[in-house]
Amino acid sequence: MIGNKEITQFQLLFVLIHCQIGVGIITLPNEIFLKAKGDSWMSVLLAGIIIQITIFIFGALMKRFPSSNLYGIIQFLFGKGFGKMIVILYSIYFMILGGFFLAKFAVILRAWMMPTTPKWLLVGLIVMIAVYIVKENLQIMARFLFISSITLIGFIGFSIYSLKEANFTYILPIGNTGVVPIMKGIPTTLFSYQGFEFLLLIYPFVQSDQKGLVKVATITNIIVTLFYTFIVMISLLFFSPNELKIVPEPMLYLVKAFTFKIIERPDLLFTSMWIVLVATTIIIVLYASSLGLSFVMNSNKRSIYVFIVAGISFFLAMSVYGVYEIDSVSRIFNPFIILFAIGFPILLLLIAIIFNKKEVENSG
Amino acid sequence: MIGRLPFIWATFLAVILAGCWDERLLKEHSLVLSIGYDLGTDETIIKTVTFPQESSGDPQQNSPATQSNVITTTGDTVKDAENQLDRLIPEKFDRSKAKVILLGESLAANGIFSTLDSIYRDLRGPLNASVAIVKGTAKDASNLKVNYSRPISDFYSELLISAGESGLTKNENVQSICPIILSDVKDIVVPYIRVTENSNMAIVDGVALFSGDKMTGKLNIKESSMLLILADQTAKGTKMNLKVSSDKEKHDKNFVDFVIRKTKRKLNVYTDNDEIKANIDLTLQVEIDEFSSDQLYSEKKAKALSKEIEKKLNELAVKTIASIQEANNDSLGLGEKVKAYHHSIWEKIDWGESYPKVPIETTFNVEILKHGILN
Amino acid sequence: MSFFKKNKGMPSFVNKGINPLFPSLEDNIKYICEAFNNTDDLKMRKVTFHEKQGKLFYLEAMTDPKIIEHSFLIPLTEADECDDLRNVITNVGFNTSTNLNDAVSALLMGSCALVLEGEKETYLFNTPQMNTRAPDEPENEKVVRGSHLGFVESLDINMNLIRQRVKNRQLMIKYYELGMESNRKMAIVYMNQLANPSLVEEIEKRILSISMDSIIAPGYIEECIEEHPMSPFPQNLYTERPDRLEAHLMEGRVAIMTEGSTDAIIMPVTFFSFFQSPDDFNNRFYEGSVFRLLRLFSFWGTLTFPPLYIAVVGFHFEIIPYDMVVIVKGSIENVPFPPFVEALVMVITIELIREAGLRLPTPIGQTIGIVGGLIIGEAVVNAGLVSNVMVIVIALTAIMSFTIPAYEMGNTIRILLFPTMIAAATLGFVGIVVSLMFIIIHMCKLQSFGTPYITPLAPLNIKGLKDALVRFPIWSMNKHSKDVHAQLPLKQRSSREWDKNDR
Repeated sequence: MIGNKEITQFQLLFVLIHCQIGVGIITLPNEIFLKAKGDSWMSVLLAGIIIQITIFIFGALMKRFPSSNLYGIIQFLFGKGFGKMIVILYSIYFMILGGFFLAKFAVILRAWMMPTTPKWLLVGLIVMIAVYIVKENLQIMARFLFISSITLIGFIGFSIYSLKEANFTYILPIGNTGVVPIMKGIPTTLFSYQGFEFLLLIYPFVQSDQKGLVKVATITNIIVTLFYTFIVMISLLFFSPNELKIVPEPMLYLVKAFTFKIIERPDLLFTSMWIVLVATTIIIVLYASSLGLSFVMNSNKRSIYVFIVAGISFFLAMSVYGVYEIDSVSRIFNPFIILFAIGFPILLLLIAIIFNKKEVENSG
Repeated sequence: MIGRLPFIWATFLAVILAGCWDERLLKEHSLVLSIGYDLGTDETIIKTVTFPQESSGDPQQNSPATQSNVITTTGDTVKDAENQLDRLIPEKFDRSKAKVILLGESLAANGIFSTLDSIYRDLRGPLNASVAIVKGTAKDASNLKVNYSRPISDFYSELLISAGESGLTKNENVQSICPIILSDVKDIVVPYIRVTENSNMAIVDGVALFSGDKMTGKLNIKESSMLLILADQTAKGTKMNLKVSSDKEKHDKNFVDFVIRKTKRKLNVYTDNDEIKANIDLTLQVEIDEFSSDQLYSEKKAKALSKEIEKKLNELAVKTIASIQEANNDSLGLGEKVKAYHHSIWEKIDWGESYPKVPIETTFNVEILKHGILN
Repeated sequence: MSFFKKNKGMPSFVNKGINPLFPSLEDNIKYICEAFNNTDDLKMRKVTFHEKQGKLFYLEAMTDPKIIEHSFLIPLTEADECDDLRNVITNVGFNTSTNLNDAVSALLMGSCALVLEGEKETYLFNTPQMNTRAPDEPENEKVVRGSHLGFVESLDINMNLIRQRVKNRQLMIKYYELGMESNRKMAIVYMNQLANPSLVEEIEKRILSISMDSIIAPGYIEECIEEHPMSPFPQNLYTERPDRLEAHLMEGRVAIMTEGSTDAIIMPVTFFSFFQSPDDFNNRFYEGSVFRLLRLFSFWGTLTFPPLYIAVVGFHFEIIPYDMVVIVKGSIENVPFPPFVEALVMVITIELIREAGLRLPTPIGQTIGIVGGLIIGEAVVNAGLVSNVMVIVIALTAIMSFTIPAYEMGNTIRILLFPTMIAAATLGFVGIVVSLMFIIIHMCKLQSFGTPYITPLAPLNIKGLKDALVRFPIWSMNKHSKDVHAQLPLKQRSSREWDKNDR
């Protein structure tokens, strides 16, 4: 029988997919196009490869510390005081991330569906949903994340429909922008890929050995990379380069252009489905953050911290106004994502290797 | 568990009491179904909207409206003209279900993108509305009294759809023209509508040619069919009528009518000493509809006929290409090919200037597939 | 009244202590009479056996005089002098007790108690008056094919019905008496070999922790033992059909039945159990699958149709095609209310009609249905209070909610409709999505005796879906559903073995 707090490998797959696919999905093609032009899809693929390397680094880290998570490793390597400070930093990082996603969500939703609905309500609803489930254990979250994956099928369905209007000459000639823009596009993409570090937080709760974990993470990465490449590709093929520059949410705009027999404005449905994806991302971010806080406080009751974390994220989201402000925040915040998601785990691994630290095997 | 319940209900109630911010009740909106833009004096925008007349009274019978109301306003910009509308329409103005957008010829010549900008920007903009250019003004076209059982907007939208389906023009909507207007490698063509003199008929009269977002020329209906064939955008069953001989006594015996069942196009853009040349190779499979001058019982006769058709098609194609090159309209997408496959040259030249000079050759190959149930 | 004071408000009419028989007959008679507060239906009959004076007690209301005559009085007259009294009483449920309080409880169950002078034991024998109807087709769980038998109000007969279907020594029936005062007899039924012992143990533990003065219906037990009593979703399955119960028992589930109720409560169940009907298995599997999918669709349809309509008409009318907009617009043009009020009025009307029709005798109930459904519907549209499209939407919704075989689930969904409609009226599609997410998260959280509510969907179990979303052919479902953790996994081996080598 499955233990009370454990999830299966299969569930992990969906948890990780939802970690990575979130708010950014509808803006990614535009953001990356501004950097890498017609070769954006290559940036996405390259970013996927970088993530894959990071996953192997995670794998090495997980092998050394099979039963504690990222927070445990930090405390183990840095000692109690300093370690806890870093864990708090991680918590804050996730909180800011949550606030940022919420702000972005509110801006996009108000631009596309609900222009006059107050922001606090839209943000508050998502936070309420997140709190309602994050209080519970990982197993329940995994169940919900699995069910909400149905929306991804809808996403792909709508996107495939747009291939009808694809114009392949828009991305030709391949590679004409040169290497530099493609490289410049990678950090932007990593922002959308953000979330795979969640693996480091939950791996002790998965019924699997380290090899299985890496395998699942790799499968997830392949799925997500292909998914993102597909979406970027479709936007590139549908919009002419000059149009893609001025369309901030290409995925929604693309769907808006279609008509079906019964549904004349599929973008409304599409946006509704996207709300689910936003909620799942917020759920994961809040979980990660509350896990950190309860770890620092040595508390078993995570639910109190969920409320605290959700409240802070809510106020962070409320304090960011406007499209341009979000852009500048994301510009400032981008390096931190790379630091926390990739840089820090690498540092941990280096420290562990250099000082040859390993988790003490304790039987029982 | 029990303690949380009042909290949840309180939240719910708070939300309800706070009100429905984005509510747009259907019954409080007048659905504008066609929008026309014209250029007024001093470059102002004249906007003409039509919306169906509400069928009054009996709630049990909601027969669709047959009449439309037409309202015209003037403003500095499109949105400005639209804001004037709220003063004239009793209910709120809503354009999200507009089916047709008509643009006056003079406005089109001045550029259409700025006119459509507000639609692209609007979250409820009618991106699916068909676009057409009107000879004269869109105002006159909207005021047209036609013998049609449904509102004028339906008339135009059905007209454009049927013209598109029979291969006369390509039915373009607001969104489908946008990427092409913005791209520098291709140009749009938009159906062109003419209102007859005595003002009770509207006729699809070919296509308007654009260069960028400005209208620069037009093609007649035969040329526009040919353009679609050349651009490989034929509808299923494009009908053609060609004069294949002139020596027959009876007028209609000089002609052949056929339906194009299948086309295969090969657009080949190549460079010859840094000069761009294009070659369009077309294979058409046709079905003869009417050919009263002779019988097609032998393959030889059919071959001869197809040769004749090929010749005539080629003449038409040359004429068509000359027209579009004159209008600097690259609707065949040569620019795309040049940019994608001959990028080094592309960077050297100004496509807008070189395009009219590109020699485009066409070769037709007609196969007579069927000739009905008669030889 | 003195008993009231002893127990601080909890009445205790029955003294559960041990009270040995008094030496004299008079004292015994007096004790029993007082225990029953000299109630008028407590009858005594003088009996003489082997020269000994005795009294036969019985509650007139509870006993069958014919059984008393046949099992005791007639044998008594025919008895020889040397016979033992134990051999004279020909009753099956014969018993003796040295405790007078046992006699009192036995009398309450419909037994006779014989007290003889000078003896230290009372003779108790079972003479209950069975006053039940014959097993009949349950009104609310009708099927087209298959068994038409339903449970009745007597636990004994119900157990008989179960045993008749499951002739297996592994069928376990455990009796409990619940309710400190009403002494309601109840039974836990399960297959010993199949049901997970920890599950049975957990159910027993929860049942034994019930402390109530009287248990009137199984609903009392249900509310005490389920994990999420505040949830709108039913977490235990009610059935009145022995065949349905049998199917669940053979999956390794556990059932609870109480005396005086026709319902069996089955646990643990999942969301999908509520959409299964015995009819599915009596039909060909295509039909079974299609109709089950139809029911699942009606669940979500009931929940989303009226909100969708409200959201479309009130927020996003650009989503439906122009031709449809014209129809809808024409119908709501003169309606004075916003769509939410319209929908609310109609939903409440439907609920009123349902509730009124339910309580009234069948002929009047039908009249109510016609008056409500046709006349009000017609008049309300004619008066222009509600648009006719809304009437269609709400009527369709009501019909969909009634296709769900489990009555409780149908009610749940109509209750959940209200918050969803409110959300749709406030926030349009966003509101619908948010409320659906809440409902789904809530369903993810629910558990029925440790079984996640939406298994086999999440956690996913593809094999389990064979009998949840659709109904696969019976011969292809080789294993018990995983969610009950049955002890023996295999249900059958290949049941179409004959088909394999046949060529």
